[in-house]
Amino acid sequence: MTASASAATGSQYDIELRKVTLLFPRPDGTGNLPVYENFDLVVDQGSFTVLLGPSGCGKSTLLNIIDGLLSPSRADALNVLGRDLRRDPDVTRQCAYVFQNPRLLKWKTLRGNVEFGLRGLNVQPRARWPELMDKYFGVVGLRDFMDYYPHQVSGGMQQRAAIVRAFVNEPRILLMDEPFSHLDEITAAELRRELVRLWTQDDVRRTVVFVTHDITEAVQLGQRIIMLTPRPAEICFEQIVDLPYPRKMDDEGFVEIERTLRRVLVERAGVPA
Amino acid sequence: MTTATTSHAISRPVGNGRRGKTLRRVLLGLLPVVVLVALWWAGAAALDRPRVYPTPPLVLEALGAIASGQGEVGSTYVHIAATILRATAAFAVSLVLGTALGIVAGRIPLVFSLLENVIWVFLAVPSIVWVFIFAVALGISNVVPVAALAALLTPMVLVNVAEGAKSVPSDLVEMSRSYHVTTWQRTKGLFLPYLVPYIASSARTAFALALKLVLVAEVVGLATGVGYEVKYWYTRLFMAPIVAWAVVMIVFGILVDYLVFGRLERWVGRWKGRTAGEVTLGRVE
Amino acid sequence: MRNRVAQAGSLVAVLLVWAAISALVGRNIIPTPLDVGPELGEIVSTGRFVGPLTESLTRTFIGFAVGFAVGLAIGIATAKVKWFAVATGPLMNIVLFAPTLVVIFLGIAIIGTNLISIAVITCIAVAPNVAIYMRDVMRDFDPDLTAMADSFRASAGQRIKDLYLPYLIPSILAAARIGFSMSWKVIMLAEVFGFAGGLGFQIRINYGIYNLTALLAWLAVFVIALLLIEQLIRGTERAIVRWQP
Repeated sequence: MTASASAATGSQYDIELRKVTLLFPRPDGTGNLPVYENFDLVVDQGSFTVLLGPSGCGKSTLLNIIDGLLSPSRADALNVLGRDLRRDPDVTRQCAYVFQNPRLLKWKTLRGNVEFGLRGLNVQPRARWPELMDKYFGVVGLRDFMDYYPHQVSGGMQQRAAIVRAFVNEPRILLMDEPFSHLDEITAAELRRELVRLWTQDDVRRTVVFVTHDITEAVQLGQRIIMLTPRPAEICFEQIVDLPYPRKMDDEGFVEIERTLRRVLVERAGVPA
Repeated sequence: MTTATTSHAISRPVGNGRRGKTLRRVLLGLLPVVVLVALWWAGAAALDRPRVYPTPPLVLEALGAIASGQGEVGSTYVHIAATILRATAAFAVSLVLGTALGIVAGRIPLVFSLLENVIWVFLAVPSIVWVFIFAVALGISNVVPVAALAALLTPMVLVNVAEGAKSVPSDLVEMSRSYHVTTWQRTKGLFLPYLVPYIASSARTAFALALKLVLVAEVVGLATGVGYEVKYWYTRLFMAPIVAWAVVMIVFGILVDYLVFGRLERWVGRWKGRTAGEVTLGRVE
Repeated sequence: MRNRVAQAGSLVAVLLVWAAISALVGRNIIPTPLDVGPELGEIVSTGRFVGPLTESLTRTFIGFAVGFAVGLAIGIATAKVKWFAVATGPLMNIVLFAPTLVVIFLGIAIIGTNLISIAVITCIAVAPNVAIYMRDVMRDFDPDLTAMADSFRASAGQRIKDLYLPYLIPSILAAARIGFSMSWKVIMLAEVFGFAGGLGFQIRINYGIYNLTALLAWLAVFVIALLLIEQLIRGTERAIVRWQP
């Protein structure tokens, strides 16, 4: 699988989308619904970018486009890690996805599920697998549960295992689609802390694109928060968050940013306060 | 080895060429049938014993004879009517009985557990054996095939409807009780809507199975019916009419299934948010 | 515990229902369990049941194997390959509605009373049902898991081994259980209508001489054997599916 030289772009961004248009056929057959229309997005290497917006505005769809799972109807540029996604689809082996639900195979142990991901992406040499699994299962506190089946552990632990499945491939880009929205607040808070720890501990910072509809979560995690409007999705506001990690929710700067975002949400996205 | 992006079916264009598409689907579906008929024709012609290995033209001839109403053993339409009546009667009995028992069994687990093995035995007994048993018990009469088929179909409907009755969410039942809803109101407003899809799908399966087995039920002792006709021609080792009668039954079955039950399930499906498209036999579990 | 009692009660219920019917109609018309019991005992203890049972079972295994394999292949292909589903649609409907009696008669007349005929008859009778069942099972596969496998770039081989096979195995076993009893009923029919030997043949003979006691005894042999085989398959299902909560 040699990628052609023409797939290399000179892009200095980890993710560069230019004029992306995505149309879905309307259910009643009367033409198409524009989900994205001439949409631009760039993401710097090693940054933590949060896509913030109400449910249903197509944020997950954007992740699917970046991961090469969905082809846009039109795009001027679709560059991931400096390569044209359309010519070198293999580059997305450097991306790992964490879904809203754990999406674990119920007939495999947690260890087996992580191996499934390792085998699929095939970016880690097999000799390193045991050491990698030991490390990342350890970081999330699941080392003693590696040989359990999903139904034998809690929802929070299942989602941790899904995070391990992504991290163990040491991906350059991490795509996360509201991964904590289906968990109770306590577990979600724990996992947010663990995520930040995992992300800040790595020698080479991974690029994270994190989707959420929760403003507080966005400010807790993101360096750059991009607010999207519903279809056709547009960037209506961008907020840089310069606070150090781990962030405190009662910190003045934190609260100020939250307030700003809430105000914008009311003004631009038409959500009542 | 390509690692092509797997774009999901959501971004498929819609609109142009839709009518052409349907035509293509119909033709593609008919292709295997045409091929098989052709092979059949070639094989039968090669074996050259048209009485035992009928050719398609011979079968068409027999179909014509059936359509004309004149048969060697009496009016073909009388036979068709007899068969359809028996199948429909068995279907109706099993639907009513199966639904009633199914609702009770679904809501009262004890009844279901007790009935479980009875149901299993009833389903395990081959149809012809039911016919034998009823024939011995009741003599030669029209009730025999109806009873035999009903014995087979009722447990099937029962199991399906019971599953439906079980699936009514108990928290809704509790809620209706807390609002002092009467039993009649509860049956009408809560249970029946939940049960209708199950009853509809059981009805479809039951009717199809009734048609499939009614000939077996008719072959013992009766003097009318398609089963009687088929047996008559079999004893004379003349196969073309047998194939013709099979075609009649198949066409009738498919028509009724599509026009009546297909429509019914689509109507029900719209409420449930899903559409069924084809016959599903063997929903028995 | 209550389940066991209900199970036992259910078996007793079968006998009671039977006895009631017999009492209703008259025991010289429908024999009671007490009449059939000794007859059954005699068939079993003298080993008379072995010959017909083996013959029926052999036919059923062969017929079932063919019908199940064909049905499985068609069902999976129908679920995965769009054009195949469209192409086989009408044909499946035709075969589904084919009257069983005609299939048996044609089989006997055209192919004979041999094992090939058994295989063809059973295939026509059973394969479509198995196919539809497996197709529905395949369609029910959680699309979220498929999307997850897509995101991790799982290869086709990996999907078959880690995704579809473990998902399908319980359903395949259930389909085998249903398909087997369906096959055996068809074989019984075939034996009543023309095939010599086997349990169906015994039933036919006894009907001919109006010996309902013996007929029911042979039916009991059939039912008990079927029950044992089904329990065997259910046991295999339980043993294999260890991961269920």
